[in-house]
Amino acid sequence: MSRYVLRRFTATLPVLVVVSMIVFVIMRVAPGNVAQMLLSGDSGGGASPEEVGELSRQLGLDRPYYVQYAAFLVGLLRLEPGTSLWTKEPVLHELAQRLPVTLELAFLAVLISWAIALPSGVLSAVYQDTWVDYTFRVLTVAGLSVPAFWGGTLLVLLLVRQFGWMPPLGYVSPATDLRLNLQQFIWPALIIGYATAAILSRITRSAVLEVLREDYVRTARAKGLAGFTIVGRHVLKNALAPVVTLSAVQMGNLLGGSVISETIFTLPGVGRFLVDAILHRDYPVVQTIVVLFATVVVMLNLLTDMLYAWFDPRTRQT
Amino acid sequence: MRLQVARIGRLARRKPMGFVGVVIVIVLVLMAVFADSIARHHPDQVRAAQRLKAPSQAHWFGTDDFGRDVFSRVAHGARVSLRIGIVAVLVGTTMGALIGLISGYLGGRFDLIVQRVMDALMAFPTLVLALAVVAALGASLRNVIIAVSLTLIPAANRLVRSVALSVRETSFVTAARASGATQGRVVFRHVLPNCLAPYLVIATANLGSAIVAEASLGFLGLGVPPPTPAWGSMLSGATQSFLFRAPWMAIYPGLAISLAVFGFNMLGDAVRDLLDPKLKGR
Repeated sequence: MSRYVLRRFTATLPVLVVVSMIVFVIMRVAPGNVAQMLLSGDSGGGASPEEVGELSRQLGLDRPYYVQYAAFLVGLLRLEPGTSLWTKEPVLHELAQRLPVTLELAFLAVLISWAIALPSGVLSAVYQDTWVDYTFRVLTVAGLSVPAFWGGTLLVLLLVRQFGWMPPLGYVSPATDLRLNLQQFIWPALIIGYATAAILSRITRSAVLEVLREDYVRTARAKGLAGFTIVGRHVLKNALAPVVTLSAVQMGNLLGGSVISETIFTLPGVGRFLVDAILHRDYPVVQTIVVLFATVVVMLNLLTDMLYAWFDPRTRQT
Repeated sequence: MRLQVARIGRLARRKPMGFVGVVIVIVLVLMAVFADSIARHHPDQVRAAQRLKAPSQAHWFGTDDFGRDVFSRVAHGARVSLRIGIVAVLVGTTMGALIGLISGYLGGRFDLIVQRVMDALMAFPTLVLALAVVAALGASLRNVIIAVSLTLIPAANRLVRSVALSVRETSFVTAARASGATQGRVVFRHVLPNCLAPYLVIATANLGSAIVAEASLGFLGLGVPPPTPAWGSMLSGATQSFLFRAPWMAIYPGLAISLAVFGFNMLGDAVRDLLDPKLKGR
């Protein structure tokens, strides 16, 4: 098992190197000179070529690309990915402020998605092809079809119009005031959690359906065990593997989705920071966040594969 | 003719949700094709006197902050958004499938390198990759299509590659090779046809996600640039600032997106059930 883990772990490193190359190249191909943008704002113009050249030199942007890339890689390995070109703050410092927001949102969304998906998926499977099943299935398909930015917009509209809710202005950390913090996070988490639950509930349903057809479930039934004892004790345990896997994949997606959700609900997280950094060609910030996201995705994949290998030794060979 | 109607009726009874999906998709496609005739106003026509008017007889979906008719923009937006979705899926899924086919069939070092690049693309959160690509190439119809199709390549590659890997080991491929068929002939005449069903399944399943991806880019202001009406772009910018004065500006384009995604998802499920009996009823 430990050899398997080591082999899989070393296999992830080249993937991350390729990710860093792709994002480096994409950002350098992007039109727009960041030195010019820094000198004259988003509009461009106003700065003389000499000034632009001077600033590029100061920022090290006039060096050959391979030197810049090597510097970026070394910085990442030493956990010193540089400073933001716009805020002049160390990138890690900026991230430390914003990461808790993104992580809290993702965590709450996953929690809510489980709270919705598990009961609805199990009930759908147990009462297959009855109105219970159809109701939950229609609800999950609806969740799949409503993109978060539209669902979020509608929710804000409803909350403000009907309940006089006001979108929070500044971010409150859970350590300062948990209640105020939850008031900020609960609505975005609900919207994203519901959308996430849609697919999760489908997978739960099909996994439970599959296990329900197993012989040992028939045996348990023949023994005269009550329906919900069977589901709780035999079915759920065996149906959980694909559900956990999908949930891990979804957590990676939620990081990407933070780009949208933090924009609608004006939360100062990493996603919104990334969009702004892309638009402003803040190379160190974009590169660091993308590599960070990719690392999380790759690690989550690795973790689920390891869980699988642990559950089922047959998968270790492939 | 009567036979065909009966056949469609049978299919509709067997796959009611899939049938609903097909109907929705057909309606949206018709809306896109006949946008000029069903909309009474030009989508880009600015009328200062008609700004932010609520839905009425004259303007079914109201007007936006430039006094443009929202219904007309949603109808014309179907052209842009559906075209991006469909073309992106065709390009992305086909490229992914071809890469997977060749990489899986050839195997060896080529396969190893190609698959690491695919792994890297998969490690990008979908939207972030699309965002970066549009930022790099500039926001335009063509570049949005490129960005969205790029995000679809790795999954299609992985699925088709796994099929190609298993087909490679079958006896009819060995037989074809033994009879002296060239490598190209084996790949395209023997392996490729066996990859068609999974290709169709993943292509139809991707249509919904491609529409969402396009709309998300538009929402973030990196979609098809204004004044071109596209569903996602209609939800961004001014729509958010006028949300409480003119909610119809946000409601109808979003409704169109959700309907399209719903229709394509239902269609995708039905196609999967029909082509992949193993997954039936899930």
